[in-house]
Amino acid sequence: MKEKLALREEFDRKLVIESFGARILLESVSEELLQKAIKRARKALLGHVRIIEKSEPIDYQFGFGLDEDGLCVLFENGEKTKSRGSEFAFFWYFDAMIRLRVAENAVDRVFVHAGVVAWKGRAVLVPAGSHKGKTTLIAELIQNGAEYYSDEYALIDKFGLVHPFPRDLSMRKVDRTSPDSRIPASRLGGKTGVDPINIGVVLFTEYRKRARWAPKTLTIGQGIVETIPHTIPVHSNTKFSLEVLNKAFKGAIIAKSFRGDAKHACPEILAFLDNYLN
Amino acid sequence: MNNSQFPTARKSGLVIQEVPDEILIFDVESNKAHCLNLTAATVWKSCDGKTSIQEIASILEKQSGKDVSDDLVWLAIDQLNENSLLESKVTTKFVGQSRREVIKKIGLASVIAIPVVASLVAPRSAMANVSCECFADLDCQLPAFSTCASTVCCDMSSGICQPNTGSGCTP
Repeated sequence: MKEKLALREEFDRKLVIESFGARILLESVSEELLQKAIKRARKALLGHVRIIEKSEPIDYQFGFGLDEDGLCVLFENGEKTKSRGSEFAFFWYFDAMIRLRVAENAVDRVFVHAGVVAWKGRAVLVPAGSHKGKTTLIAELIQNGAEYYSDEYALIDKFGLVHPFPRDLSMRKVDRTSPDSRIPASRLGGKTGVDPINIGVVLFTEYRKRARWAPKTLTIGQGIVETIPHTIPVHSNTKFSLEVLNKAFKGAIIAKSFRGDAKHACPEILAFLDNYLN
Repeated sequence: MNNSQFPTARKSGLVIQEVPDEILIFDVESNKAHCLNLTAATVWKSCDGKTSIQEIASILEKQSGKDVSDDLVWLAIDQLNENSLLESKVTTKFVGQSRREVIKKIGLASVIAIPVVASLVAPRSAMANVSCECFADLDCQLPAFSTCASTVCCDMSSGICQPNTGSGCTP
């Protein structure tokens, strides 16, 4: 039976990192694994990571163990997870998970699962779940002159301003013959935003075959309700999340519509943005 | 005191945020987010267990400067009730009638906005908001390991990540 996993007690290498106010304990059976985890965390969080001396209180903890086959095993908050595999796959998973746990526990930002670009100096927020065509639309908007802010999370501060979180865009395979790839906005001919900006437009849109862009405007309250399922700290920090969304959406145009292919929908969406953002 | 005539707004387990002309309510027990328009919000705020339906109608009349029927208040109560936003369940006044019929009836007679409670359920786990991280088909087939972290899962037969409906990958 190959269940002899590295026990928690064997995690003799430990350190605490802080990112956006969230404190994460990383512990490992080896210094090498720990250093790899820190490196991956920095990459995943675009450098917004610092190692801190004070270790308490902790918001979340990740443990890195090895089983008898030499495969990496991940522990979260002391519990062994199902995640076990080659180092590549292991850290690929950890990359997503550390962003999520920081997003849940951040104290000075509200993370919303959304794509973000800037158009005429205002943020255009596209909250959506996975597989809804968010990245495709963001890429198309960038190719048409929008400034890139984020492909995954909109980071909103307590004043309601959106900060850039410009990870390379994760473009999915369409034909299932070529791999997904990570594309920097510059390769799409776009610039990346630097400054925090106000939200001008919030678009709830997802791809539907043969759908036409026919936006209906929503009130601020309706817009926030639609955003809540995509708001990561809505359970861990409900009051702060609602306050921040309220500030952020004040003065924004909020619209909802299905759309067809991003290439065809993009000119109509840009005309819509031009109409409201002068 | 007839509870139905003097409804009480629920306050516990709710996080409330006022936005212009609306109220947002997040129910931490049911994970539901509600948006009450001005009419529904006024009714909800007036439900203190001491104010009658008729009196709530008067409050709405004062606020809008227009005539308001008790039925309009009942329509709001009905929706608040349905969304567990009242302390105790209230028997609906519109037994045997669909909401559409009631709205049609009240809507034609009403000069103020029909009360609306718009609701959405938030996923219980933040995992639902993790983007699919698969980089290539092969990622899905790595031994005993899913590189997808959340609502997507790896279909070993096609080697492609697909939305997870809760009962595995969608066909």
